[in-house]
Amino acid sequence: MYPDYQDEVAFIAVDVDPTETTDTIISYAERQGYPWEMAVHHGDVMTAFGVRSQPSKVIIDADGVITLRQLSRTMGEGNWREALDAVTA
Amino acid sequence: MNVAMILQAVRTATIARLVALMVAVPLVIGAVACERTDEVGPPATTIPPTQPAATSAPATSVSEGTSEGSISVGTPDDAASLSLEPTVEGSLEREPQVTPPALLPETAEPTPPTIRAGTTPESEGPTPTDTPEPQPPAVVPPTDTPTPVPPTTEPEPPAPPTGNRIGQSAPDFEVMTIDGVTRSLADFRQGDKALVLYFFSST
Repeated sequence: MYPDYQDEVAFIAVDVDPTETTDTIISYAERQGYPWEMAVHHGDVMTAFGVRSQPSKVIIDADGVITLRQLSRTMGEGNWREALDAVTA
Repeated sequence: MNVAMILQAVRTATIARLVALMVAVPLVIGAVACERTDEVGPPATTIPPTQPAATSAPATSVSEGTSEGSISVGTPDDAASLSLEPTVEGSLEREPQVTPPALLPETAEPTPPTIRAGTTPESEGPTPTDTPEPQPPAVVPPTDTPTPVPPTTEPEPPAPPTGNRIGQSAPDFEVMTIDGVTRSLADFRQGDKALVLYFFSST
């Protein structure tokens, strides 16, 4: 799914656990096969978007407006595509 | 008897001479008077040549008038008439000459002042009032310039308040990637791309 949107959508995965190190995150990304960028824990980002737990996701369109904010829930591929199609039309 | 006849003839001759003189003298005086009057005007130059002949004519006629007194009277009349004609013409010429200049200044003088006085106030009055009139149009351009300004209302709609909820502008943030690079919201949105923030934990 990621290859279908990577040209129009940027992805960044932010670790919510402040105890995890950079090596832990890299090994985890390799195991999961995440091709997108990974970022270490940063409390200010979680506070800015009201995130307290994982998995959570926020989608921002090209105009900088939030179009999706889903907290502490998993989301299927269908919902992902629907959300991404809305910001790439 | 003969002597008496001779004496009487002499008397008649002297009387005839006296009569001729009486007639000729006034004519000569009139001719001289005509000369004086003609000297003033331009025709005086043409008349003098004819007058000496007229003056000389009565002189000769007086001398010749001994035999024909009537002829002496006729010649000075013709000369006087010739000399008088130019005087009359001169007087007629002078009268029109004098009257036209007298009429011209009189008629010209009153009219010009009236025209000048009328034109100057009229021209002065309207001109100052007419010149300031073109200024009002200058006020119109400034009113036109502000009218094209309203188009600035178009870019106003896109600017929702910043927040963390759907429909709000995403707050700016910074994160550090596992490569040690700090990136902000503006960096992710370069090229007008949308952005997915995914929060995870490895455990």
